[in-house]
Amino acid sequence: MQCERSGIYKPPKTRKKPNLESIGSRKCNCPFSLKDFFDKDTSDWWIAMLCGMHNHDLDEKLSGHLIAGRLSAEEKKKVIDMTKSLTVPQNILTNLKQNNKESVTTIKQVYNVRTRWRKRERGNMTKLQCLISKLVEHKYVYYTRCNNEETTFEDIFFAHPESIKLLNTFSTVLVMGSTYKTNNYRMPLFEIVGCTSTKMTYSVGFAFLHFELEDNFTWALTMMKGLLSSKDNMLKVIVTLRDGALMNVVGTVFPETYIILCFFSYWEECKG
Amino acid sequence: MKNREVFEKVVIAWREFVESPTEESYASKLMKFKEVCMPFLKFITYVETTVLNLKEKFARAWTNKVLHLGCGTINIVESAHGVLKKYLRSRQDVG
Repeated sequence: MQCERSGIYKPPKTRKKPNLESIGSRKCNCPFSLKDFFDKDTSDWWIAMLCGMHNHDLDEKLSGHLIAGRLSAEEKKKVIDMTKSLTVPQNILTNLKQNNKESVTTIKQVYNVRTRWRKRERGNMTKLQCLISKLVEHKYVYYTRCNNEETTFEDIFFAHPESIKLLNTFSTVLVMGSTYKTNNYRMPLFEIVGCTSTKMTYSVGFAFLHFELEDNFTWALTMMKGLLSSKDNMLKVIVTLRDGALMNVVGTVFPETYIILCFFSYWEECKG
Repeated sequence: MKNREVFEKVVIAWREFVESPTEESYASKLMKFKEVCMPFLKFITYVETTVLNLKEKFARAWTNKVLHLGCGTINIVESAHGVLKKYLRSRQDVG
């Protein structure tokens, strides 16, 4: 038995060389160690102290220690269940602490369980393979595009078959816009929304774009145009933000379409 | 407080000229807007150069000539984004 701070830090075996300057380690080569053995004749446990000194100060509280803060299998299952029902980590932690008053679990343990669960769900697929397999599984229509040297994946456009049907029925007005902070790669999510004759809205398609440049928008809009079944279904009105790139592109991809710009966006701009 | 009053005046004038139903009233409301913004010359030149040359694209006087089913703004996309983000657990879960 050893102290949790015994030994030295071993960097993980990865191809990338870890940057050791910016990280600290709990390991400080603490010499404290105990040895226990089992006496067969008397069936008793014996503990021998090999070294009784710690080379660091002892904490007064248990919180933050690995063994003390670990989650039981039951708690782990609970964390996963709560994650599935969209609970945020801090609320999961509150719930765990309410059920177990003596718990000294920290938020990090909750994060770890969630990350491990996600990794297990993905199996040996990469995130991108996982996304595409899910798209295939749910019968989405999707298009992907790489950069010119075919080294990096750049854009992906996907649409549900139901929304393609809707698009071909209600193709009069489409509204477009991007949203941010949906993924770790800082890719904007470009969304196209349609409007039905009953004033309901439906999503036509989504695209993760690498940049918000004319080229990327042209590609996404051309893919969207490909979903229209006939020329009679051509769009009549497109509403967008006053975004330079998107505004110019809509005109070239859909020359017969009337473009309406959102006047609120002007206002936002003027305020700034 | 004075700044706030000026700001609200500008907002009202802006809304009036954007939402004016005919081209004639658009012209008169635009004059009024410019009057209100008189102290801010830079703002007027900015509006003239960037916004007014695209007036057919956003002022109600022109956009109401086409069938737009009431979609003058992109707020339906914004609400769709809101709904979408409710389904996303965290940033790591997408992509």
